[in-house]
Amino acid sequence: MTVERALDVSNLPDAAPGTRAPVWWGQIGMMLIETVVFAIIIASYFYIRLGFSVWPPPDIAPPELWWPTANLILILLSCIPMFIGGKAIDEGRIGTAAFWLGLNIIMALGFLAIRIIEFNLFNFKWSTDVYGSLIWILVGLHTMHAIADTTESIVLFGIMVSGRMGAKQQIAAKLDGIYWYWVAAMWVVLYILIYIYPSIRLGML
Amino acid sequence: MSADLLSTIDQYEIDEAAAKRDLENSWRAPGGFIGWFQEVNHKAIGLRYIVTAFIFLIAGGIEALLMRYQLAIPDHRFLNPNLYNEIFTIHGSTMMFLFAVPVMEGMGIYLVPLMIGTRNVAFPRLNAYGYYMFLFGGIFLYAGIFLNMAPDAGWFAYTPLSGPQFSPGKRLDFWAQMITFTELSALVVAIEIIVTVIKLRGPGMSLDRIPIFVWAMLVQSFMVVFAMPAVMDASGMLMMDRTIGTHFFNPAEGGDPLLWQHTFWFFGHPEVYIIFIPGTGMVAELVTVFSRRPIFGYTAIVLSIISTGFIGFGLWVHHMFATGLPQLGESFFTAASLLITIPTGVQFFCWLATMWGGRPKLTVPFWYVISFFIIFVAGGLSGVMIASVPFDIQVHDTFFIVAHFHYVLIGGAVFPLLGAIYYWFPKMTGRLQDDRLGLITCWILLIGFNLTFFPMHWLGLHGMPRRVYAYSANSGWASMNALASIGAVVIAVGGILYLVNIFRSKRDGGFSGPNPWQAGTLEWMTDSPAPRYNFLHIPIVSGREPLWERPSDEIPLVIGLRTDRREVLVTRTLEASPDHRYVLPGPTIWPFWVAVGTGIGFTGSVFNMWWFVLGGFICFVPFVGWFWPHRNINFVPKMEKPK
Amino acid sequence: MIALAGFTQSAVNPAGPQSAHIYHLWHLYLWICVAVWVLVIAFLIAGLTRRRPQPQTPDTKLRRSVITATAITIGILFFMLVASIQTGNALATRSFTKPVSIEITGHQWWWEVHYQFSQPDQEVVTANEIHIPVGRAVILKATSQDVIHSVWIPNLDGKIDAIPEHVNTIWLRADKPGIYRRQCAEFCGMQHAHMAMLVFAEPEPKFERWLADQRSGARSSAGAVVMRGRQIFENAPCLLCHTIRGTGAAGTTGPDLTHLASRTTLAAGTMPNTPGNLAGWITDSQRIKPGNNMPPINVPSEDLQPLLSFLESLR
Repeated sequence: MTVERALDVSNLPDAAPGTRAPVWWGQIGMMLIETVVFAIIIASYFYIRLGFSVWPPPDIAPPELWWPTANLILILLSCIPMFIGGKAIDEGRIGTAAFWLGLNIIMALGFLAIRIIEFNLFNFKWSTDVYGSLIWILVGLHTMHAIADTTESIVLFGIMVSGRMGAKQQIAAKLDGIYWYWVAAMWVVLYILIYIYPSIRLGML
Repeated sequence: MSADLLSTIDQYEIDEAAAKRDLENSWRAPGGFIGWFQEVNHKAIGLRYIVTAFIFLIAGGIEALLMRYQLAIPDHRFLNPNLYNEIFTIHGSTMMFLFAVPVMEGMGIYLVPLMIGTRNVAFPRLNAYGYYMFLFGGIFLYAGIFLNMAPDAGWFAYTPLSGPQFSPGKRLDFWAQMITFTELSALVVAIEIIVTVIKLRGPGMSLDRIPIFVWAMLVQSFMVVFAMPAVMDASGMLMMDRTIGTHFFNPAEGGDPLLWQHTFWFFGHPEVYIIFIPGTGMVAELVTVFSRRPIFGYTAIVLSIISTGFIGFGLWVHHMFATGLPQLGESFFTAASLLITIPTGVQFFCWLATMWGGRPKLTVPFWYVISFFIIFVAGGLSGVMIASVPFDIQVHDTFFIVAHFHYVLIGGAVFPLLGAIYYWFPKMTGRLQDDRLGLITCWILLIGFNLTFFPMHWLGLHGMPRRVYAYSANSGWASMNALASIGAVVIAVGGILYLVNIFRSKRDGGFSGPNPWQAGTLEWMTDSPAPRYNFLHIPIVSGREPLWERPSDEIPLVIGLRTDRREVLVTRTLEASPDHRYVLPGPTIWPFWVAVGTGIGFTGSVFNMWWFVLGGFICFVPFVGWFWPHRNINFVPKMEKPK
Repeated sequence: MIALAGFTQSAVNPAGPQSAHIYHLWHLYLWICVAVWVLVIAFLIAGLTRRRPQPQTPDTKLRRSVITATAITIGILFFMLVASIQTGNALATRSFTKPVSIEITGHQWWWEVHYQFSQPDQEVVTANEIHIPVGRAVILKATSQDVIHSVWIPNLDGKIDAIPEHVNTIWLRADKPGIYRRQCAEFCGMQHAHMAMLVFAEPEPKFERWLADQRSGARSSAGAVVMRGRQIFENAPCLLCHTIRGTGAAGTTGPDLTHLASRTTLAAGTMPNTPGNLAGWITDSQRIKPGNNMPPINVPSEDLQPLLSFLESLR
């Protein structure tokens, strides 16, 4: 039959990258939600802090800065291979992308290993007092995200080397990178809150 | 739409019958018992949300009837205090977490793709996952009830009462974890709605042509994104205090019981707007159709909904006026609580203007709108009263508050919902409901509601606090309580009649045809019930009421989407010009298994926190199954280098 | 013994300046809100039933009406805001001298009462009942030993929450003598419904006499039955939780019983203070107030009467 007024879209591509992709918006939405999760806990941190005249509480040792700072630098550096890999994805060079993603994964695993050391350096448990509870929940939640993203990167690496990279997977790989940048950025914020802020208050910086 | 695209609109020859056949095939429902778990179609899932929510509504209603029977007589010994405290806790939790939010989500998931001219939501598998999380959350809470581990600290579980010392055992952990399930579900739906509305609108549906109900769902979804994390944080911190010994709310170790109230109400106040705003969207659609003219003040209404969404985040302390916070701070929240009346008022004035400027037709859905006016305006006004700190400190935690929130929630959300379901019933089922029974039902509900809840204003002013399982005969409260209890029975009768109408009409109602109400929005363009693929061809719109601007068969259409796989059209955000074609997945079992893994993790962690970690591992395999690319008709080859 | 016929626990029956301020605000708001509701519904009905003018009402006229209505709304809300703030200021203004200072501590499910004075030996300790002088300001300090409760005497003032490790303060005054009832207004667990208190507003001399009586140690007659009852008390588990000043009982988990017989009610306002009720409470309080923290006390029947005589002598 004749359709009188029709717009033919058959020439449009069947995938598009970046902000044109619905899944990009989904990922940003997820990151927004997780940012609010952290924001509420950080707000709680400051709310509790208002009730104390001495902060951190007297039984808390001043934080050691060496390992946490090294870990901060490591996670920031790990964004570089992720970025280079992302460029390779844009140009359709999957092999190169796999290489750089692999490098990022190695650095991410290193980050997680040092994270274990960071936990051991706390001289308080989550059940010691409310300060302990707040620090452990913040670092714990961040670690969960780092683990989740590293896992996603490993799965994507598997998809890359098994030759199943379609357009959707290319988009997903770019988004994995954005997620990792977010994990790194959140750590900058938390690093300042957990290590710099108390050090300033204790007169160490 | 851009000029060069418009210039390509032309006359085409297409084989409609073949297209229809192909679409029916590629979009067909998965069959059999297993097929139920593989479903990813938004209408099927939306309907599941609505039906499941109504089952929980019935449960909540039974809980209400039990309470009203206990309170009908002074010093009644029908329910012991234990049971009563559990019942009011479960009633509130069921209504708020398992009915009100999910039913609005379900209406959104069902209607939004139809109203914006697309075939499914942006992430069909995630949509299925979200529903399973809601279902499992509800089952989880009620399993706790049947295992005699029902929560009993109220639906907002203030600490320290809900903490490890004063609520030993697992009751409050069941409550807190139910929240995790249901809030995760709400966040999933929010993402679906936001991305679907932003990216999948039919060509020509610029921002100022989006139906108001869709705007309402969009604003509500943003509110969910900012509010739900607060309650997930709060309930998570509560569970940690209770199971692993953290001290967030423990004053002895520096925590603060008021932190719970702040965090909870930072979610809790937006929550009621999350429930109410979709109601206003429904009212706008019903007022438009049944005034038989385009809505007056579209821009003002949309801006009002958006500002309500923003301001709603600045009110939460009005739930805490009795906690001894500084007067200046509290006054700010009084001002904000009064301020939010203004955008709501603007919406009311625009609806009234639409009626004055139109030719109103008193159909059954419109009677629900009238009831909404009668009840919600009263509730909103009692809200203005309690926005004032001096007045609130008299009636806070009394039955005056119970009256207020039932007036605004039932008046503002449930009555519009009941009218909306009646209105969209033909689109969902292809049948018409019985108008006479519908009218009688609406009036019975209106009368029953006021009989039940109006006396509660009096009770609160005369000193009756909330959450009391009994009161003495010389309080003077007996007669008003008896009246309220009779009203509750009347509501129950109305509720039964409403359901009778639905079941009977589904079986024997008259056939409705595509557009029985002569409405103007896109969902009325397609068949009733809507086919699985929604539209044979995606429509192109040039106004807010496409079916009022030109006859159905003169609306320009999109052709060129493949019919041998599930394809939709992605359009650009602002002016909705076609951008690319997007392939959606078909039925799959993986979302169900990921939900099961999540459910195991959440359930186990109530008993031992390590299950949380274990749950993550259990989810890993189905997650991979979900995302692992396989070569089927959905496979899209590598993207070309961008130009 | 006062029969609890019809209690006064109401916000719309003010007996003091605080509740009077609120009551006036309430009236103002009530009339405004009723008027607004009537107007909106009237416009609704008119909009639905009027005969349609030909031609239809133009959008310009509708726009003017909507803008006018919005402007009126803003004006009314602003007025209500000002009224609210003024009332709040009036409630917060403290222009009194020599107030009576009472600290009320909420427990699950009873009220501990301390009258505070500048000299510690003037302190009065009691439970579940307070007396206040008519015409003199009273400062109430609310706190809690366990969960959040709420202190609320509707005839006299709004409520204030009693939060553990916090002390919240309000002031009020009774301008008329009377007996005002109050009950806990924040859900606090199983027996939240039975956590009440009577407030006796009485003339100054009578109040001072009551204070003096409460201040002293236990006074009871020296009769043989009473002495036997005291002995039974001191050998029973009672002293683990209760205090009777002047005896060996110094427990603090439960209410102070030094002047138990002077109180009008038992079990935080649950029932009148009669020997029969007291007997029932002691032997099986769980039947009357299930879940409360007092276990049933097994008192041999020959001991019950002397025990009651002793307790009823504690004026």
